Amino acid sequence: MKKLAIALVAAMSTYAMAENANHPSWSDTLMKAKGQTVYWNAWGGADNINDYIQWVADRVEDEYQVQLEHVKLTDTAHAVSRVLAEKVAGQNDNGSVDLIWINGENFRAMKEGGLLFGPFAETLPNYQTYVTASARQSLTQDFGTPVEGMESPWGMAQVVFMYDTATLYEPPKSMHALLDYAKQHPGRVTYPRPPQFLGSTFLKQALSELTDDPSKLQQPVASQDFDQITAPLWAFLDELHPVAWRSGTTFPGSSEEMMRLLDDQEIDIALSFDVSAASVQIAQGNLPDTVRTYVLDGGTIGNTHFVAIPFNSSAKEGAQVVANFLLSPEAQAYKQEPTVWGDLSVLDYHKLEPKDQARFDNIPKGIATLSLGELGTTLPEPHVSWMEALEQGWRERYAN
Amino acid sequence: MAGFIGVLLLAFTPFAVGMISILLPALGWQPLTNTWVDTQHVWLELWQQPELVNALLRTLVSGVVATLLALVCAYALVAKLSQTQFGHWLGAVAAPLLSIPHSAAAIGLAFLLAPSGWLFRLVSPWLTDWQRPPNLITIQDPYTLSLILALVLKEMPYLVFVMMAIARQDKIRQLLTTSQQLGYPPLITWGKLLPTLFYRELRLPIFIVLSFNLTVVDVAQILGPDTPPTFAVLLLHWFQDPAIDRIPIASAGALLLLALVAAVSIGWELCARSLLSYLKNLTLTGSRQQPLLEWGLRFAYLLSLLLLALAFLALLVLPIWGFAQRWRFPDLWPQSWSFDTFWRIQQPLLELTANTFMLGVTSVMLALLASLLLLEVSRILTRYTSLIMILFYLPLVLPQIGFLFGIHISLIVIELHHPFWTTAYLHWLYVLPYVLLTLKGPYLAFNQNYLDEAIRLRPHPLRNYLGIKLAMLKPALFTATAIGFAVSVAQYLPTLIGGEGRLSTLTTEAVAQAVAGDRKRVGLVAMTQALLPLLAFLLAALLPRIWTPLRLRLKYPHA
Repeated sequence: MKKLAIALVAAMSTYAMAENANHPSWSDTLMKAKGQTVYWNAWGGADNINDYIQWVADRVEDEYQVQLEHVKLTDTAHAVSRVLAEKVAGQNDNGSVDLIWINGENFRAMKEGGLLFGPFAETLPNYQTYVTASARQSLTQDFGTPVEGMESPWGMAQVVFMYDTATLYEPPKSMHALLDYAKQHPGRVTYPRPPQFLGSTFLKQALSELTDDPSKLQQPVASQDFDQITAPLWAFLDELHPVAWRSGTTFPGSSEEMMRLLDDQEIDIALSFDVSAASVQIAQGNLPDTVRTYVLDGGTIGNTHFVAIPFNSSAKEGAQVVANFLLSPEAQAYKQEPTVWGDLSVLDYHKLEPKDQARFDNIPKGIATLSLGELGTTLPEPHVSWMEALEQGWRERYAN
Repeated sequence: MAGFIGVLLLAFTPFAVGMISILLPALGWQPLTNTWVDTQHVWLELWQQPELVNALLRTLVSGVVATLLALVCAYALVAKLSQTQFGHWLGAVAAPLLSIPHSAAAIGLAFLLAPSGWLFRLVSPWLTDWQRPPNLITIQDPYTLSLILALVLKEMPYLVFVMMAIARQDKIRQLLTTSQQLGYPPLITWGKLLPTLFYRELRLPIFIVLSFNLTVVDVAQILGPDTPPTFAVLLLHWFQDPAIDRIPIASAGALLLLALVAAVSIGWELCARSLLSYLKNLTLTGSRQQPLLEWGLRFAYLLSLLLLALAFLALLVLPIWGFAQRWRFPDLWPQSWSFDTFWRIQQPLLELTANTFMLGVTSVMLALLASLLLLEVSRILTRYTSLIMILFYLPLVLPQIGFLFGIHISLIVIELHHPFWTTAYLHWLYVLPYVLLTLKGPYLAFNQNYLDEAIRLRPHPLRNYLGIKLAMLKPALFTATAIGFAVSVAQYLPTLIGGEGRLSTLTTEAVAQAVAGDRKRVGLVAMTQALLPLLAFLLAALLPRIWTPLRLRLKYPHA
């Protein structure tokens, strides 16, 4: 029996060594990463996030001698199309994008197009130590697309609504209430223009609430009766648009624009995917301090956002070092501070060491930020195929 | 001669390559998979895009109306003012005015015209009773009115600049004097007689304006409608769509836009001809009164003054936002001022300014070099002068969006990974025609005898060329530099594509943040963007005057 055990252990260790030969060890990765320049293509529309990325750049340069350059995008799709164009041109190394902030539709496009390097996420030391993949569906299913280690989690987001308590006493906490409010106050309600991701999310949020059987949304759209399921959504929007902001002829381009409009009092309710957006904007003098956050009674949609490495990056090691640093308790806790960014951590609190747990416990909560309890139920993202179908339906009805 | 052919190749290869790179996908080539689909299929799919018809319609309306309005307003302004002191002054400031990047002006305009904008604050709440911004569609309106306004503001100074030069010609002045002696009021002469003369020389500038207005991306993103946007913006969305299969229809769309520009230009020319022949018939009647024409010109003149005032306000509002701390509707002025935003963004602002400056200087220096070469060739081979000019005008008439995306793919094919140099090259393509045009007159008018005489006295052709000819052309060279620099600063799409997203300038940053970004930050970036070319013009006006005294003092400090 003992012999058998020894043989087993021996076999296991040879197996482990073979593994190591295939997967270069982390110290090798660190070594190769030294001196590399990582061009991180990340949406650059919010100053606080840009500042956080700059902080990451300073930290990884100090600690790992990796140069991190933030390439600010107006739309992540631009970076996807750039990598695609490079693939088209046969440029299989030395690509211009080394790391990309991504999820959902863009991830699906890159994964299916063979534009990604990996799998790498599950081999990152901090992923192995601190992340529990089963904790949330969105860690392994990115809008219904299996993640399979092709992207590494960075943060979590949930749809929240914002309103100014000085002008609005009882915020509408369901889609029907929102429509009633819009009818009483024409021009004060709107949502971002799909296919902007928050705009598409609003469509999914409304659909989840209005359709008879939301569980159907978890199936690929092709297997479902799209027209029948979405009919209540279009009926709702048909009613909403005539009483919406600028009569539904234009829509805000982003959450930032909505908050600007909220500050201007052009509109009464703004949306964000960033649970602490209101607190951050109040601190920067961009919103009055009477603004508060709320979620809908039936819950709101939440998801995880990731970083991925293009197949032709010239700094794959450096990019992995950055991805790993992003998963460190230090980086995740700093990120969750509302005055820094307020983005929710992807780490498993119970896997943290006590001193790191304390770090998270001590994060101050902004005046307009909801606690995890107050955020309520997180609704799952519908299967990724719904997004395109909804956007197409929206285009045909309202974009022409 | 080798240099001449070299410049020619440098200037036209990108257009040829870019055009081929959109032609192939438009014929059904799917670049990702390197497969072919039916050409018919691509065009059918383009036709089925829900936004197509309305986007084209909005493009057509905004492009044509903006061109027409800019033309009429500029003409009225020149008609009223060209023979006055104010007119001379206006002619002098037209160049710096038109150097202000149009995206900066568009951003300022958005800050003015939005329901929460300055104009509405001006009348609220005391006049309108609006405690909150009204629910009005004043920007990004479906009728493209705000877009048209911005385009007119951009193009009017350019047309005024060109027309003032025409109005200074002797034959125009003589005609005005003669007809006045015959008892025709000046406005009648301007309305009936002069359009034909002007149009002959304005044709090319008008086509440039028309092509720009029909294909503009940056201004349309800031002030244009969004459901659907104008066709050029829609194309940009398609080219950048992560759903890869859009490339063929986007390419087909780019060709469609090219065809639209061509069709509109032809249609324009036909209308212009019949209108001018109508005016000619009107002239033959000999009538000295033409109230409709006169009032039309007067109205256009007032409109143009109003537009200039609006442009002034649009630029004024940028620094106000930049240095505001908190500024809510309906306050006319910020509640508090601060340098906070400035300190917060000084680092990126400095970086953006440095990038913008270096790109401008590099592309302008190269454009000056190329222009001198081209002009020297056309001085010797007089026959080819007009051919060269027309060839190098092409980049201005061709819509950017089509061939630039083609260039994007071809750049990667040749693995050119120098965002700075690629962008500087693309800027050079657009700077060159302006520099060439500015230098053409003075350079070809230069009395070559000076140089010949100097060479006889000192047999160093190159040194004499630099020390005599170029030194005498100094004012023109400085003006060309300033204009070229301004053109480079304003480039949006070439920077976006050439920089591969790694190179941001004041312009790309301002446009990216214009709609969604923090107004205080956008205000500062756009203000800096507007100041940079103005500074260049100031230097261009000052330097030639103090250059020689300064040089002499440095050379002979004790004289």
